[in-house]
Amino acid sequence: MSGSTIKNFIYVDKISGRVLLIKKSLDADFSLTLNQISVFQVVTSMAFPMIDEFNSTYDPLKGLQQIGHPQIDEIDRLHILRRKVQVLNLIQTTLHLIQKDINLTFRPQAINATPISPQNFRLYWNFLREEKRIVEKKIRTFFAGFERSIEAANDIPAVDEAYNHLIYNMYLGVYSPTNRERKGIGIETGKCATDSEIYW
Amino acid sequence: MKDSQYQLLNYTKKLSDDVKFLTCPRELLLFFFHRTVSRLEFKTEQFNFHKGAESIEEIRSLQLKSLSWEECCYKRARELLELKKDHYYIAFSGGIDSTTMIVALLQTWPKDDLKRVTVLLSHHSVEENPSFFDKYVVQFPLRNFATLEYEALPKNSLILMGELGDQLYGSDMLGFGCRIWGDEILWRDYREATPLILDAFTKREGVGKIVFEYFHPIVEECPFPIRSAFDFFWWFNFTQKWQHVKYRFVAHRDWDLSWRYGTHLQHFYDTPEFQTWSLNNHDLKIGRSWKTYKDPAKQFIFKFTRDPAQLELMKIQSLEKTFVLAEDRIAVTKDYHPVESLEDLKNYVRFNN
Repeated sequence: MSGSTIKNFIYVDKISGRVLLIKKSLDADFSLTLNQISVFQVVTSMAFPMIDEFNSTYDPLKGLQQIGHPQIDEIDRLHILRRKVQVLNLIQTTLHLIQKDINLTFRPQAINATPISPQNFRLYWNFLREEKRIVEKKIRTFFAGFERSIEAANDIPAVDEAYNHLIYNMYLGVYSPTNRERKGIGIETGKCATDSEIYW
Repeated sequence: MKDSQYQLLNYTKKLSDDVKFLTCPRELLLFFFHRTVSRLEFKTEQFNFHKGAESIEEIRSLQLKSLSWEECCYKRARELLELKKDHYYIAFSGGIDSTTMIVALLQTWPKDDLKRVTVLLSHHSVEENPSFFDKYVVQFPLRNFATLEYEALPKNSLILMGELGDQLYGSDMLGFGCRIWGDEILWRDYREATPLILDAFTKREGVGKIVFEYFHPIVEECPFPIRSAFDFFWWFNFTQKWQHVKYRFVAHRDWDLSWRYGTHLQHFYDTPEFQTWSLNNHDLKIGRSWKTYKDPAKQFIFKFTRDPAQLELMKIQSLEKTFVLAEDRIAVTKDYHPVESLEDLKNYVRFNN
């Protein structure tokens, strides 16, 4: 896309230096803290090229480079690491959408559009600020825990099992099920009070 | 006969593949159809459940004096005050049922007793009913519902929820049907309309017929003839989902299982009087259109608040359903122990005749 910047997250196996995966994003943060993987974020105006199966290395000084195929005994290990990154990326995408929904819910224009009387507005504001804090902490704690469980997985079935357990047993949906359009909440009316007080 | 120690209090839906050992039609594994606990002679449940609610026959045999909706609300509010709890935590979703609850308390409890009330809510409770929040809820201490996950309540507290209000009135699946076919679907012959609505609700053609045929025998035990889709869906909800809804608060992994129904938590609508009202006042639950659904409850609120917005309240999700990143347990036993594995769950399977 001309004019936009793209974040390229490059996941590299620490042992071999081989690139496992490159994840492109306009918006979301796909940083990870897995022990066996280095993550480089390169912001460019165009996407990184597609890479062949584990045949590239990445180094901040030398950049992306082609190398030979990995050894047979290395391939399985690389596949497992890549699967870990893929699964974590999937969850990060979901959490990113939840965070966007949270931001939308709690942005000043949305709060101002909720018809609360001036004498109660501060009470309402404080309540919302606390709720935002609670849920964002919950998201961070949840992802850290899930990342640890993926870190501990030793093969692809274990990685997939952890992921499947999550998506089939946990509510990962939208943050705010209120039909905001129906209620006219958060609609830009041009009649909002001042948004100068931002405590978030 | 299955050992009586193997009884569940609550079961939460798993993937169809997870519960292949169930012998019911596969179509029942969609949504909640295999989580029913029948309060009739005709049994529909897939697991052995502890009897956690009155049967319909038990309610009818009490032969309670028929109270109005308003009288039921006031009576219940007074009963709850008589429990003499130090703290009452009222779950407010902003919807009709929880708003009714707070109105009942405001109209019956002395001012000093109202000081023992804290309202549990989230941001969307306010969005759903901002005028009621602004005028009435703000007078109470507020606590985010999510804090129950990690912050214990003081001793001698009671959480009060608005569950079971839907079961008294009808079913939100009907609203779904009305959005597609208009209000006339409510009054169509239930034998024709129910499978249609179920197909649309599950988004699987053909499922409706199988689910309907499975549950059809329940109509034999209704005290009056089931004619319309509205009749059937109410009877289904009232007799088959009551116990599941009553105990589903234990489903979340974050819920402290030392908190018991009755002592630590109650539902406002869980009384024989409300259930008698539901059996005796079928004609009052709705007018001709879906918009008039739960009109007695809306009128009750409006009479107190004089706020026309309360007449426009719609059926919304329960507060706990709005949790994000919440995980459900597989099931909970009658002794409030979690069932830890699907293998363990097999001990609780009920084999139908």
